Amino acid sequence: MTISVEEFIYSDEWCGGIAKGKRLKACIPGGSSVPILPANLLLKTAKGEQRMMNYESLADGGFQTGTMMGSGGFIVFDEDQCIVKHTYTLARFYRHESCGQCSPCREGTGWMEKLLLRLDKGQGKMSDIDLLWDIQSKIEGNTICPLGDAAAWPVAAAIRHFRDEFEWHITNAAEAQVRNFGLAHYADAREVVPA
Amino acid sequence: MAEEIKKEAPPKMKVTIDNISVEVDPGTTILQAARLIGGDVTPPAMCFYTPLKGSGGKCRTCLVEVSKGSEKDPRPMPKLVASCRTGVMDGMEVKSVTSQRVLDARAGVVEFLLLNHPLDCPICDQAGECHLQDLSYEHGKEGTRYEFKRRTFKKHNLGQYIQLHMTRCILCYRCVFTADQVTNKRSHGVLDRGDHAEIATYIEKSLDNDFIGNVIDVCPVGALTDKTFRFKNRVWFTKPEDAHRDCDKCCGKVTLWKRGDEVLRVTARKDQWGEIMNTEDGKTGWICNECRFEKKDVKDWVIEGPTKVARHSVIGANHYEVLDKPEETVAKVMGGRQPKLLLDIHNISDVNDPSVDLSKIKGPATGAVFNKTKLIQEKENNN
Repeated sequence: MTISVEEFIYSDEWCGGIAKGKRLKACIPGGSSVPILPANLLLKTAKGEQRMMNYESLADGGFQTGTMMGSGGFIVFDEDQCIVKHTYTLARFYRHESCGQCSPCREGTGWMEKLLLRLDKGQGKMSDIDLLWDIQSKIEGNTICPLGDAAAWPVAAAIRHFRDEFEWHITNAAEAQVRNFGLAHYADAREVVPA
Repeated sequence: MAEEIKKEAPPKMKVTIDNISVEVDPGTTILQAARLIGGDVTPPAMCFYTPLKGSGGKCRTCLVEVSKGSEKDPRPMPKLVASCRTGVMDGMEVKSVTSQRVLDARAGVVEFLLLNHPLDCPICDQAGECHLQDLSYEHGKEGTRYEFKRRTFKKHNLGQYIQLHMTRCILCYRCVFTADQVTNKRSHGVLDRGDHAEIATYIEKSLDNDFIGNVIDVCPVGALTDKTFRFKNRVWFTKPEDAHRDCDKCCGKVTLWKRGDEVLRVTARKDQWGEIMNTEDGKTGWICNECRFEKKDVKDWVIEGPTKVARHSVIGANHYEVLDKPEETVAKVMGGRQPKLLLDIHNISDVNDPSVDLSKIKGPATGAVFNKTKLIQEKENNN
């Protein structure tokens, strides 16, 4: 609780840095349901302070520039990871886990999964991104249990922080099938010497 | 001793819904309080069914915003709450149609419910008295943004009386609660989970129980329909009549849906919310399978008179004189904006006013001709 996120990822005492000297792209710090954060917002908060591994610091900035500690299941993405594909994986998981009692979660999770699969396969449309945003806003807070919220947050955060990657997936559909978007402006401030 | 224990009736609680106040007993839900007011402020309910214990909370169409929790704790509730499962507190303030958040959420829920609905209303027996039709007309948006294949299901045989169309189902669980609470053994339920959940019997089993026919009445959509009535007629062509017979299994008080002298369908009596009414002794008027499916002859019944259909739906179209009109305060609350009302034709149309004698108009009655005639008639009446 007293160490910084940067120390947790890079120090040899804890995680020992990212394998093969790759650079940090994004991180989901609290289990799959909490909002994903790009590297530049993860290591430092929007105010420029060091982000610590505790509830208050991770939640700093709300959902706009912060995230949640959640259950503490720390997932780190390096520069080779595709955010669209990961968002699809999460949406598929929540669609599978939805119990089907209340209608926003039952129908909405399946719809989001289908849209994200289409985006991932490069068959998406620009309007799909706004549609996804609208669907998640109709699910969040309107369900019986928090699974609806948990399904909506990763999609919302991915669009909030990685919208240009989604757009790139649509405009460069063929290229998106063979290579990843890369780091773009999310690169962490920290220079990493390849091992 | 017993007299000492008996307490006074608990004080009434005041709840304000869209600036209209109503006093209700403790333990009433927001939805029931809103139904006392009636009109547009009443949230729609697809899964809640008053006679069924434990129903509600699933469809999320009845979401309302609680802008003030109670007199003691005036904080607003952060999320929209399901009004059918939330009890009122003294001094609670609720926003229903006056909150844009609620309207957006409801439109979203309608879109979700219609995602996998086949929209086969032209061949559906429920069309005309379908709650989903009313809901999407009143609270939905035009068109859908869904571009994928709609889900379909394998057919399940439920016996000689009940037809199940799982594709139309919105999973309100009402029929499951009915079978649990009205019949003595439930043999159908929800299989699977998530968006492939379905109402079914586990192994192809027909539903045979004396009261299982009631699942047709509680179904808000056309998922469970009456095989003896299937494709016989559209509901708006049939004439509903109250009738009763001496039945040793049930109350025997029903509505006959007739075409001419032919009894096409028998259902329980329903109130303006589409729920089965209580009989005089305060019990819910469930009817047995014998009354529902086998007594299809006028001679079996004692006709009491025409049913007054008090519902915002196509079946209420010829009976709208008994509709409770909402209070005019709604316009005041909404800043002069008049909400869309399904059967409020008189207020909108120029050419539909009962005070004008149509036989005095020659030729087609356009708005201008109609208004002119109206003026002339008013003058004549004044003289």
